[in-house]
Amino acid sequence: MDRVVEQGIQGVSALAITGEGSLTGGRPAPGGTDRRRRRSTAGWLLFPSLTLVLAGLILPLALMARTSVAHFDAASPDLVGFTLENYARFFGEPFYLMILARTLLVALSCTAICLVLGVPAAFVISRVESRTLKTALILATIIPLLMGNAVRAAGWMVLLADKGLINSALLSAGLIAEPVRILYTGSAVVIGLIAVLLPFMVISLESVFENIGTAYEEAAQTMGAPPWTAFFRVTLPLAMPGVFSGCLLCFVLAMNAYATPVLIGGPSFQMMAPKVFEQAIKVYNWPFAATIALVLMAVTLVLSVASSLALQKRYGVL
Amino acid sequence: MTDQTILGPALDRRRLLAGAAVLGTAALLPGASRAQSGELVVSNWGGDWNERIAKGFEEPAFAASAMRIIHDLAPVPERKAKLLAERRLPRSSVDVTWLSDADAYEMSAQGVLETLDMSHIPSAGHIIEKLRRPYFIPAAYGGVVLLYNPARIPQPPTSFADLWNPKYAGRVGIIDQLYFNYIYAAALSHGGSMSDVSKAFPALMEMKKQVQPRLYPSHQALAAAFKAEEIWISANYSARAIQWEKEGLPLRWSYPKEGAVAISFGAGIPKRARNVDGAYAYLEAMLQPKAMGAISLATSYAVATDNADVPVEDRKRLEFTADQIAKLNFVDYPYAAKSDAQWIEWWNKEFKA
Amino acid sequence: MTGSRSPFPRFLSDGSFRPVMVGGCVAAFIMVLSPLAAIIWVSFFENKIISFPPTGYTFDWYRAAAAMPQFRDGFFTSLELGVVATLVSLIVGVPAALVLARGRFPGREAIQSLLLAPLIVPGIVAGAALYMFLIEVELASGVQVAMTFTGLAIAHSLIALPWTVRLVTASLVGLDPQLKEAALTMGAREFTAFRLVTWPLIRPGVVAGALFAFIASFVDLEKSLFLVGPGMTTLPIVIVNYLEWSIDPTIAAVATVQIAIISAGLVLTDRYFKLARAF
Repeated sequence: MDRVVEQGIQGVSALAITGEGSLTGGRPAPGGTDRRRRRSTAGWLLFPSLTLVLAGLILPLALMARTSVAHFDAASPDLVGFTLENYARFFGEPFYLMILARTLLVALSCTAICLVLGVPAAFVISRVESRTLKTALILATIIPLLMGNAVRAAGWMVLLADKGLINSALLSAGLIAEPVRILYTGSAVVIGLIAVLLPFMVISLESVFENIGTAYEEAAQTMGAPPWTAFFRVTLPLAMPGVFSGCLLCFVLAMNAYATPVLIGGPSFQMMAPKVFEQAIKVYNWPFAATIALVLMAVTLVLSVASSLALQKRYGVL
Repeated sequence: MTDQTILGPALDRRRLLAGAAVLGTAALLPGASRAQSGELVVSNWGGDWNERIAKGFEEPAFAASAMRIIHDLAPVPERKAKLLAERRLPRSSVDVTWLSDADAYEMSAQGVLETLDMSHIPSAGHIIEKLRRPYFIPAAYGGVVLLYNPARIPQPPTSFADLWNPKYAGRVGIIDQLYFNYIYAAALSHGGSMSDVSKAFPALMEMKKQVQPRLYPSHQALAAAFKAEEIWISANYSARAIQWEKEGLPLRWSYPKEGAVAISFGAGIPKRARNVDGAYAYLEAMLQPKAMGAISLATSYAVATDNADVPVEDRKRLEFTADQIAKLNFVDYPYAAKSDAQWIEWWNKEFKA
Repeated sequence: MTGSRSPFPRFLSDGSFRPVMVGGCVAAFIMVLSPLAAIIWVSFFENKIISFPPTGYTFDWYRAAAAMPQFRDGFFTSLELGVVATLVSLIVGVPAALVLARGRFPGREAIQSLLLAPLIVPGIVAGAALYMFLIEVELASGVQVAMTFTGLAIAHSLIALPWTVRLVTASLVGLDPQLKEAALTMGAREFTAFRLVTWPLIRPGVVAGALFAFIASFVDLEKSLFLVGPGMTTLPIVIVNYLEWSIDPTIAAVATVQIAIISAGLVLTDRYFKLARAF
């Protein structure tokens, strides 16, 4: 189990890294005919996976892009026209811009809190001596992922409802007089999303802390640095690539969140991905739904690339 | 089963069917044996609604038949969207689809539902006049009425306008997915009608200001709120009120003086359904007195036929009086279908924001 | 580094460092584990409408859930899909990982991003787009694809693919290329070299990839939402449909069983592979 779990951790942290970070490139390739032979087998080896992604993802997305510039006609199911009216509607109405802003706010808050909680968790796990304890802790982080969003949301409903566990406990302890409204608010969504995203953050960071090792901290200590200084001036900067990749993964997953906002955010707390679903399924306005979807992906992509470039300037290639 | 109302001369003795209705239909339909085998895809709401209909009607009626019923359960928006998406395809994945009357109108107008050949459904003659439609066989009907907690509100509310009463501030419950019913309720109680809801929008904004209604994502959540006495008054389908009262929730229902907003539930056949014969057999079986009685008891709605087999005590509990029926406000289907998208938009932008 | 019981060497235990770090760790675990604990606990409650404290405990809900065919059907559909998706993603992804791990070549970045893209695109968007696309395919070809097992299998293979590609690539990175070169110089053909040298070394990575891929496919909700059809619904969607009507201990029982079965599967797989490697 340990070996498999380790592989899993390495791979997940590698998954989060968008740049070349984890792969040591530049291995000398064999020369001459060997290279040509390698190119052709490479082609064959890559062909099936690329076909799958092209047919299953890229082409459908292209169709979606085409739909987003079509004219919405409730009576006709065919794609007609070329118009930018859907985009004009999205960017022209403060209501939709507010939904985008709210989604961004939720995603950024979740990422920040996941970072604040994930760093200690990952650090502690990486420094644990006992092998079994370490594996147990990592499994405790991964197994909740097996629940699936729907069941996890059900768990939060049980905990956060006005007559749920937390309120009942606080009421019977006499700490509050009236139940605190948590369920079906933005706070519930943030709490629910953090529970989903923390395992990804912890796993991303854990292997990074593991790889850094304690040598640098010990060196700092011999030079008289107290623990906090050693941590913030030595360990954390070295872990920056992992921190960034963990944050990026959390941010993207939070922006795309659907089940959690729908199930525990309540009808008044509207976010982007649920909006896509609503416009497609309840209003049958597929062109507008496609527009919202593309705006969501574009914003996420732009922010990811921009922050990646900004951090690369500061810390070098991540 | 001793119900022997329909017997044809050419009884198919190869199959001894528990439901005499199905037996009778088999005698009337050509190629009936083919239709009675194979699969029938029935699309319905899920949860206990479907459980009860399956236990009360489908299982007894089709237990001995070779036809296997496969359910496609999902909330109505998804089911409608899929029906619409399949409009262009050469086949529909669903044979029988359960819808409300307004949704059935919409689907029919969009070219999704078959116009039914009533000669295949002899029992259709028993359907209550007001509920008959050419594309839809109603099974049950009810109305949107007022729900209230009798302990907290000793005098039963008499009008939809009671939802605006400042005495109930913070205690008014609203279900998000029934937005259209609240728009109708607001219109009816503030000088509008089923065909003109323009007065509803300012009225609902007033409601927001005066009573700060609580919004719930589902019937279940509203029920929980009533149980916890978080809310004391709401508007919902009569059947839900009857059901919840039976389950011991602290509530009663009262009929509003403007008349309840009528709703009926039934089934239709999508165009290009695969098992059309089976679908007709299903609809015919549904209208049989025993089946109708079972559906009424199972769903707590009044039945759509005049010869349903409902026990006398339950009749009083489940059915409306003649006066109440006369006052029922039916949906103006073309108006509703045309305006729905705007209503959703307004609801999302103004009311919920 | 002595074998001390504390996770931190002595110097890092000074002052507030250790309590804060351990405190943060505990808080993180509480966040992650509390919904899980709540659901497992609730599944044994006696009262149908969930309220605290519970009136008693019972196994009845497990019996009730077992009697409901939609949960069984959903579970098996999700299981089938998970296995198919994992197999497809391995068959398709391991060769891709082999190429990507070879080193730089023009277009490598692009191909890598492409293969990881399914993870970045929102599930609800990818599912909707795939649904629209399959309808067009069906219109053009007359072959039904949408709302069939094939359509779902395509979507789930795409869910699984980024996991197998990345995890296998990561395990290939540490691989010394000279090992395979040595086999080749001794006359082994490319495939034999792969079978006898490369494969045993990357097997843990492949197993890890398969596990994460299976989990990702099994718990998926958004991508499958548009693609499920009559008689063919995945367990997460059955659960969500149920939740729309009521939240009672039955669904908690279903969830607990789901977690127990998959966790057991994880442990079993590990046992099997550990034994195999001994030979």
